[in-house]
Amino acid sequence: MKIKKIQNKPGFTLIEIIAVLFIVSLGLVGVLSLIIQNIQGQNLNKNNIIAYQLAQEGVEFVRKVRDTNWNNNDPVWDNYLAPGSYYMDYLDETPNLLTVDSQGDLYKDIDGFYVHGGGVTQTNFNRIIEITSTSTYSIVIHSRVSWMDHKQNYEYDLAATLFNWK
Amino acid sequence: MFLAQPKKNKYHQNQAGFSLIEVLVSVFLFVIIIISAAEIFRLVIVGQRTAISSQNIQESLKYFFEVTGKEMRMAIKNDGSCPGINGKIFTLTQNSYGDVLSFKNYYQECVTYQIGFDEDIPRFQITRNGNYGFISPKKIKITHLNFVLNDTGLNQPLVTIGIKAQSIEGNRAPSELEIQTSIASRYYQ
Repeated sequence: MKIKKIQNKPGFTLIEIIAVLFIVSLGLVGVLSLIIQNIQGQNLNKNNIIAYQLAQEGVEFVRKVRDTNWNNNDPVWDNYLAPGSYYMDYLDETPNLLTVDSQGDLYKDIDGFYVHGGGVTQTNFNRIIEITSTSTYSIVIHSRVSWMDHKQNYEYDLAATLFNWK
Repeated sequence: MFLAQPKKNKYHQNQAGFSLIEVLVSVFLFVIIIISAAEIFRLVIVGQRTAISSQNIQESLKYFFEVTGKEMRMAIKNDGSCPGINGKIFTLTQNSYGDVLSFKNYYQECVTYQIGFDEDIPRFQITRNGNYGFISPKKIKITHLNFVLNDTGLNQPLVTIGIKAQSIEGNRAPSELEIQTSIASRYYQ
């Protein structure tokens, strides 16, 4: 008798339950995607900072070459800095001409510094220094750092102009 | 009151209640929903904490390069008035925590960069004319500080800095950031 009575009571219909589940899951997906986006944004920021400093390093390397030319009273102020694409490490005195883009791949050496060859572990970053000559007294440097993150390519391009003005 | 009780009970017993199955199912569903809601809430908080601590690290390392980069670029030749090698711009030594970089800054102050311990927290310490201070916040550990000095005597000196920082809060998901850059001296003979 009792069971029969319960069966006769009105319950929720399937449509109602589906609608409720749909609304609840919409809310959850919204919150979760917000967090994921936040973390991804932070990760992108982090890589951007690393890339910016690596790009800046590339410009400083070229600067060092020009300043060394000045110090040595080199008659050619932009010696070793002919137009072209290069890769250079922190212990290199002059840039190395790049023949394939993969030569720009950055590795970590034993001390944890970024180098192009002879490193221990490969990083996601690649740095190519491109030099163009704009006049007899100036060169333009593009220090391009590119990296892969979650199968997406990113690039940071830092440009600087160096002059033969002491 | 006591006389009225049996009557009331009878009335209650006649009402349609929940069956055991119904109660079990509803409790089960309730527990599932509460647990998943709590888990999602926990995830949100952990995610926010991770984001905030990684942002803190990014901000403080940006500030670090802002301060040190300028001062190192403008460093001048040591004329013997500062500890370090006479006639050189930068001097690199080591202590038990890592590398120590010394130079004379643009304002003729003797400057030292190193890791210093402040209540067991490794922080980035700058000493100028014997007065020291920390420029990395207390919430962040500077776990590595490496300098490489490329100064052959013929080239323009170049200092390469590698710094690694770790957040102290959020032990479950500590944020880490490792940055490297190089700075060529702007001092001309």
